[in-house]
Amino acid sequence: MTPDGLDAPRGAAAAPAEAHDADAQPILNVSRRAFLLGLGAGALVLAVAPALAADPPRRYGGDGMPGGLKDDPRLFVAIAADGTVTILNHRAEMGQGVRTSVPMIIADELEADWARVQVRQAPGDEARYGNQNTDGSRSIRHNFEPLRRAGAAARQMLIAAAAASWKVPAAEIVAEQHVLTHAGSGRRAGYGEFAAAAAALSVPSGEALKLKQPAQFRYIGKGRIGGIDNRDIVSGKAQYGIDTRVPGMVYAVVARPPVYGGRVKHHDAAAALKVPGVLKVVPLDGAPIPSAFFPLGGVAVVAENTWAAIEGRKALQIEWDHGPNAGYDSQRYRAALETASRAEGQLVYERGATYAELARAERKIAVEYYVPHLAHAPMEPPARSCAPMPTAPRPGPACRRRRPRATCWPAC
Amino acid sequence: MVTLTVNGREQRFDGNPEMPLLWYLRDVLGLTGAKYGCGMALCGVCTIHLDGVAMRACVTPVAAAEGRQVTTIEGLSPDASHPVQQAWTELNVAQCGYCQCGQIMQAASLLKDKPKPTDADIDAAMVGNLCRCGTYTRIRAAIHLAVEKSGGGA
Repeated sequence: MTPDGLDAPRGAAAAPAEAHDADAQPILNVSRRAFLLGLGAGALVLAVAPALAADPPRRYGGDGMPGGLKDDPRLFVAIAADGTVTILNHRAEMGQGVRTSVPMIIADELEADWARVQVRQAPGDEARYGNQNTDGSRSIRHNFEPLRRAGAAARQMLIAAAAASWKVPAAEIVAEQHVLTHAGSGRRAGYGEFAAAAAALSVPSGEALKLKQPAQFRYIGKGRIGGIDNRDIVSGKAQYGIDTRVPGMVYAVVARPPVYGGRVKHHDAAAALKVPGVLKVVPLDGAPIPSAFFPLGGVAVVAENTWAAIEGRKALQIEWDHGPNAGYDSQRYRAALETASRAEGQLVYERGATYAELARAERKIAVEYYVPHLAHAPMEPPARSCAPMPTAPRPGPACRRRRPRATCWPAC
Repeated sequence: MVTLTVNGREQRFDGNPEMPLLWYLRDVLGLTGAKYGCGMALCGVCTIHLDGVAMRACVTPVAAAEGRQVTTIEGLSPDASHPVQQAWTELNVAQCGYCQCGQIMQAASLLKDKPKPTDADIDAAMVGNLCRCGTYTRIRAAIHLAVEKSGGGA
């Protein structure tokens, strides 16, 4: 994948950030990330040419993702007899606010009073909920219309149930903020009153389904709704991956190879095992590079608490085989990137006469930007909690690529 | 044996007194509001109060809390009603929220010390609390709002 002459770290180029993005035709895989990484972009661009020539129909949206999109209101909306609306969020919250925005979209089309909306988190089940692979800034981009359809369909089903009961045309009933009103007869009812009857009706689709006009949006784009988890966050109750607590759990930390693609040549656990609280030392095989989304391996220290595990890791004696990247030199790599980027490129696609126009320009501005390899360094260390099956209560979000052997938090 | 008070309740710890308070709170007492970030007092996500003063729990041994009052985010108020918590909620300060318990504990400590801080006071007090989401401007606005909520610094 790496163009000749680029002394790139081995194994990095073959794992583009969106390698598992089934909605992307090859041209979309020449993504912002691939360019910024500067790794193998040339090879990807070349791969595009035949697709452009053939110009096949492209699926850009969620319909091309594994599991597809769901818009069935019966999946996403539950209305209790007291009018409480429970909206299901089927995407993973990672700080992007999706636990607020997904329900907000449905609530807006449903004309639900946000004060009476509760949010429930869906488990991982793509057969049921459609695609749940939460990355690539896709949750709203792909689900905006399907979720609107779900909310609008639920609203219309409530209206239809009221129309049948009141024996008036559905078109004369207005649903607004949790209340159904028929002006002609002066009838009014809360959503809860018709929830059961509405649930038994068929789901409107196609021409029969009437979405709001954007000017009618009440919540979407209005900045009126605060984060659904604000209160939990400010009181320390919001649970992050690292906060999972299971009765009888033990804690582990992993000494990872200091060089990407490295392996443990030899390790001595004796000193680590003498640290009070350390229970076990377990060498872990890593995935071969390119490791993509699989773990890198190393040596795990299992202990009664995190601190003992950390102290145990400090006491490990490990001799590393640094692997194919042992000689990687970031200065040399930078120089190679600069040389390559200044060389004449290969034209793959052109619309208009860009270069001819640029050549005629009176004033030309040339700028080079350079970004080094950087560690992601999130505030929260990546964390995973697992309970062996089958004693686990129920399978959680399953690892897609491997047969699940454990219930895991958070989702894979 | 270390005897200390955590969120108003007396606790006795007979483990290694060198264990950082953070792990005692999180793994032994199950109080997970204080987070782990760097483990070296560089990021502030583990901030708690020791006798009302903001401290980094990741580098403070349990032994240092002997006979003292430890307050975590869970004990700052019983119902998220502390002026700083209210202001944080109202202004939607949190994005991912991972650092915010630490930010709130630091801000609450600042307001105890300086009930009406200037922007410069806020920057000086909050400089050690990192936020990867970049919520710093909302944090500053929320601290000013918390001052208002506490009665304008009276």
